Amino acid sequence: MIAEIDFIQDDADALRWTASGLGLIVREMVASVLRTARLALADSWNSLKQEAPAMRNGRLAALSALVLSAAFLLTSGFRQALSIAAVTLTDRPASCSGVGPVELDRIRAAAQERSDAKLFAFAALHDSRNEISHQSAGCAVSIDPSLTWIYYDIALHAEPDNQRAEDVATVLRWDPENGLLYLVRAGQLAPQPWPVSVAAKPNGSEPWVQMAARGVDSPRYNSYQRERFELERQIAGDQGSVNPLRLADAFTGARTASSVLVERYAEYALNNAASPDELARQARRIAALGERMMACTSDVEKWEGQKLALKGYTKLESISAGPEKELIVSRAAQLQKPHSLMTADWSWSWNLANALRPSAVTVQVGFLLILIAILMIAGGSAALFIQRGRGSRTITGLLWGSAGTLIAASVACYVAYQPYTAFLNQIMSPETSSDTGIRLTHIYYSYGYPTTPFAGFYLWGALTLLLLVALTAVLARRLRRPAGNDARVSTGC
Amino acid sequence: MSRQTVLVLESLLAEPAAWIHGYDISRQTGLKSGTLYPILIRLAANSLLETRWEQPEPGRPPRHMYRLTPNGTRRARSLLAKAASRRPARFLKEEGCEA
Repeated sequence: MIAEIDFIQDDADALRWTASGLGLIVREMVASVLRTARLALADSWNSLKQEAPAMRNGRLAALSALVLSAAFLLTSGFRQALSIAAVTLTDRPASCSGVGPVELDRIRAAAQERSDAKLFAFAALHDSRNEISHQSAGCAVSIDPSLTWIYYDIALHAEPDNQRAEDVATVLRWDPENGLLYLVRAGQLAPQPWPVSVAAKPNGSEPWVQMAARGVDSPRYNSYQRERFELERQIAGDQGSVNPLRLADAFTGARTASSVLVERYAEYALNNAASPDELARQARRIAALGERMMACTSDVEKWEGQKLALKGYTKLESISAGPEKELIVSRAAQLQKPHSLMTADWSWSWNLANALRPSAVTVQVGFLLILIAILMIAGGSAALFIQRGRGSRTITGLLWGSAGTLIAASVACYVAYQPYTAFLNQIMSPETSSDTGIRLTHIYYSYGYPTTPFAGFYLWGALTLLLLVALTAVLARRLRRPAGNDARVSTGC
Repeated sequence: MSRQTVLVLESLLAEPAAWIHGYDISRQTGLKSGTLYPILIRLAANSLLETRWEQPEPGRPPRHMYRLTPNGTRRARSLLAKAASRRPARFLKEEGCEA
């Protein structure tokens, strides 16, 4: 058939001849594979029929359990549960990255192709490679200047310090009314090492004090959490796949200025007022900054804001009068109650995370049991292979036990993860406000906080130990067996 | 017997003693290589066809050639006669020749 091609004059005819011949080859290949599979199945079935019923049922149970668990994998919730359990039990990154360089390069290429500013911004925020991250940020901002805030997030983990200062300065030029940026700049201007140096009483002429004063007097305070959340949510929605831990970890860690620096400035401002009027003015400035910080979404900002506002109101209580004093006393009393704001407004997400802790533990334990069951099935199959299909009660028991464990653990994992699936849908819904969405990401803290460097060691240590115990048991049985055989032979039976 | 096999046998019966290439059969019958060669292989396996390699021309690969065996010629004639008897009922309908 192939040789004929050389004798076909017409090119189109030769092409048709070749295409049809290739079709024949492919058909034959498929038929051959199907024939082989059918023979293998028939062979396996004949082998199974010849086995003892208990062993046969054990093998069928293990196979059915594997198929059933694989069927669970078709659901995105189950896949997500396993991946979260695997990450949180081994190495949950402390940084907000969690996106590999290959995926980032793919995202950047897509952004380039579509001139998509948000995709560039996403790549910039998640890339730990400083230079590439800044290149992406530059592309994003050149397409859409309203994304300049991303430099603030990049500055949070940018190296070295002068790069960080440059990033904050970039955002400051774009958003000059944001007091947080001046406070961050003040931290960069404070002499090193600090906060030791900041702890010393300032005299007011220090550059960091003047910069901090501008931060306190600025009308706004924004750590761009809402903007970050909206971007993360939109990109995750566009890509059709959400990595919940990535979303949650994006809001982990300090996003605000140094609390030590802000408190030192507040003390300086309140303790160095020359007159009661000046003291009242300073107290109002500090209280106002505290209230602005409390309007942010992160708990750190809310806590710091509460402390600052309380400082300001406490000073104002003693020097104000009339209706203003009543208001100040009332507000100060509200802020003084321990955890008053936490229980009223903030703590619901943490309560939710605590309530979901049993589900998280079930998912993690289920994941471990699935791993162990698969290892047991693999071990049982290997033992059968080594013993050339001759089973034993131990292997039968192992196969039945692992099949039951696998099914139970898969069902438990799937059911226990259902609440997370429901909450993730709510987080991703455009109808959910960014504040609620950010707070809902706290549910993933039910799996434990990031940076658990020894969790991986414990997990793999436990699994290695389990395998060693199993190996020792198998070896011990094999070493005992010849002695027994010899004894039988010696009796002459 | 399939319609394609009938076409191949008809083509081979035109000159039963002559050796013929696969491509020539394809041109005469209009069958594609993917359809033709399984038929030729099946007929050869049933000893209805004999095959040989053509002496290669310089710079060209050798080609496979086919012709009916004496037994194949007899069987082909008989099969074609049977097929022809069914033709009014089946093939004419297929070819849209019904009145």
